[in-house]
Amino acid sequence: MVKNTSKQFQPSTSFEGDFELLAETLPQLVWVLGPDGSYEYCNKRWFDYLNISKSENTRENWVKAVHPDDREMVTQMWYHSTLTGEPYEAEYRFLNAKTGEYRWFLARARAVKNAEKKVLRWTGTLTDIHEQKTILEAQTFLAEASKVLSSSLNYVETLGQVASLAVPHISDWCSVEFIENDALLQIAVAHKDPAKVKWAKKLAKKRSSDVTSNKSISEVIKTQKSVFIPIISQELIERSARNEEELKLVKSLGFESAMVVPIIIDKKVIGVIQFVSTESKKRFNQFDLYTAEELGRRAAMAIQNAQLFESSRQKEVQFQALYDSNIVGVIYSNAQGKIIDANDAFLQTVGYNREDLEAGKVRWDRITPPEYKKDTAKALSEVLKDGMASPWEKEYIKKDGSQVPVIVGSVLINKKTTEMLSFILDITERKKLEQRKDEFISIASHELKTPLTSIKGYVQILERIVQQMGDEKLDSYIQKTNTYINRLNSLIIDLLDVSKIQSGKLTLDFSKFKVQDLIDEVLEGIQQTNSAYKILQNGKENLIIEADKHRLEQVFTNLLTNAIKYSPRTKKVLLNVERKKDVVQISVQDFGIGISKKEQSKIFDRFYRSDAVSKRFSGLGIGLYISFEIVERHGGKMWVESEIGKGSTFFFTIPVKAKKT
Amino acid sequence: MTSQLTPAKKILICDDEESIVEIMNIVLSEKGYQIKTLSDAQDIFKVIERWKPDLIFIDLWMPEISGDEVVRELKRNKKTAHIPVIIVTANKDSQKIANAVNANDYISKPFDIIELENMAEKYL
Repeated sequence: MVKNTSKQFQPSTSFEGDFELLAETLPQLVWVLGPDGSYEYCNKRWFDYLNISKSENTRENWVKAVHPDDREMVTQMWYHSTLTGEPYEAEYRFLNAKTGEYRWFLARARAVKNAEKKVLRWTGTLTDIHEQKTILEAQTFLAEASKVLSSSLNYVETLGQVASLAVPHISDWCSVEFIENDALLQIAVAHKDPAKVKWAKKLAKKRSSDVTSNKSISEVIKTQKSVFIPIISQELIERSARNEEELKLVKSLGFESAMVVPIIIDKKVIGVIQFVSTESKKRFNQFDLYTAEELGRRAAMAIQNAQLFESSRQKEVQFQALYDSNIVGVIYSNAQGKIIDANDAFLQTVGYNREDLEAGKVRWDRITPPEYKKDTAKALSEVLKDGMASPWEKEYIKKDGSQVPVIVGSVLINKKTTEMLSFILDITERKKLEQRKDEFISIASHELKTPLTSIKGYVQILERIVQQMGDEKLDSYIQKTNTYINRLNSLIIDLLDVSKIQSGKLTLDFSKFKVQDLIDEVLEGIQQTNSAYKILQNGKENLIIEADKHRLEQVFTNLLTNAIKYSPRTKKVLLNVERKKDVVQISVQDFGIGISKKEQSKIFDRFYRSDAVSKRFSGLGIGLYISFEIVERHGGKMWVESEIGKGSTFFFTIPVKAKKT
Repeated sequence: MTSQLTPAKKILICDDEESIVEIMNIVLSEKGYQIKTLSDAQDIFKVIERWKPDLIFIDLWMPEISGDEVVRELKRNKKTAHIPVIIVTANKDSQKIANAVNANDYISKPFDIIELENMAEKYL
């Protein structure tokens, strides 16, 4: 029997000596008890761990070192073994008296029996399995947590479950907080005691939700790194408590150890998970921190997945609604012509039914008329190259052989399979309307011009008679009438031009001519009716350009008559023509009323008339609009520089060589 | 200008607008031309065959029979193809239209009476 621990390291030849030597070398805590459980031998590690002397080595002190939660289980199992003589084996937390930390141990004991099977003594070991145990626990926890997180897209709910999983094996407390607009939003809190959870929830509500009020959390947000407090010292508690009440509270909870880990999405801390150990007296170590951080990462991933899924689901719902609404035709096709799917609106537009589609009878290449093949091919290469084609007009051959005008826009969905999504808008009604509008313009043109022709004709006949009579007074009246007839005529022409521009029917007739010839013609006409004004041309340009002479004459006339119209107090207008590389730049400068900065951007709009002008000067507000369009159609530019009270300069450029589109 | 000794040149005017017909009649008669007017194109071929005009002014926009078809037919028919035809139109693209229907020339509404005179002189 082992008697004296002081002799333990002396070589011995006896069996007892050998046993003792072995027991002292083993990394485990080793003990030998009598059949009644009384102390016979314990190795040095045992005494060191419990930090007791031999005299203190009582059953009472051993039990005290067992974690309160494990005591009952340990007592029962030991009782069972002593009663039956069966081997004893248990895992429990055992207090390290020196560090104050509970560590996991595997306890094993065997009974030594005599020939009559009577128990002579118990020999046992306690193996420190703390590391393995925590690793296993952490792994199980993380696996469980992942399972929960992926079980539902409701991440608020799943994070709540994860917090519960962390308790009690990882920590005594676990809470999840989201940060929204710099405020903390507690979405989950767990503790093994429901009463305490209730209390914590109340506390979270009462507490200021401002993130800056919590030092650890604000640090986590700032650094995007965890805050790890392995030992919460009394001093720390006293330092961080904001008032007496809080200090009392925290002290009563017995904070032992804490970890705060971030939940990071897109490089931004969107929330934190807090772990606090209290009554278990557990002290978090690096491994616990790793586990906690891993949980933070997995939570972030789950939230991100849920958000992605939700946003893609929403998009899908939105698209499906559009698809089903049949407001617009939608087809899913490939570049070869196959239509994989189409909505009813499309089928209706082309006059086919779903059976035709399923039978593969509806292919976009087959229902595209030959005259649209070129445009379609161009749009298709655009889709394959840039991922989308801007909407273009074309026609489809309907099942009955007739053709339907449509606008098509496409986006590439899959580059490899060339699958694309296209929107098809039936524009039959619009085309009809356009046609009616054209007809109207044509009728209006005729209807307005016919009486004007008659008036003009009669007045001119009258003019001749009066001139023969030599009545100057009558003649002057007739001249005035002529001026108004011409004005009425140009108003009608302008209105028709606006309609043409609007319907894209303004065409240009290009010819080559000398710019100066055109200017001379225009100036002659204008000087005739406005002899009081001096139009001075700066720099004659002996240049031949290719443009629509008649349309450019309109632009010149418009700018010059405007310059005169809006310069009631001055009598000078400057015209400047110069070649600038590939364009000829023309400017018309007046010294009249000028245009405010605000209005400069609007004066080229259709029917726009500035407030300052509309009361003093008559007009429809379409002259500059038409001029601007004519210049643009030529591939030129038009702009204005002006100052109120000082005058305006209108510029425009025309390419020397026609850019025919 | 025509002389009193040679027989006056004959101009046929075809327009549904009475006032315009009257104006053209006054102006061209003044110049000594012989004028016949039609308010529609229904009997135009018969009139041409019988009266044999030297120049035709025709409005393209007339009810019932479209003026452009008439002009095309006049230019297709060997018997009438030699007679100069001048279209009178309110359309801005008169030149294009004149080409399209094979007319010899055009006058755009509203025209100056001097244009009318010049046109007659040019073709007679």
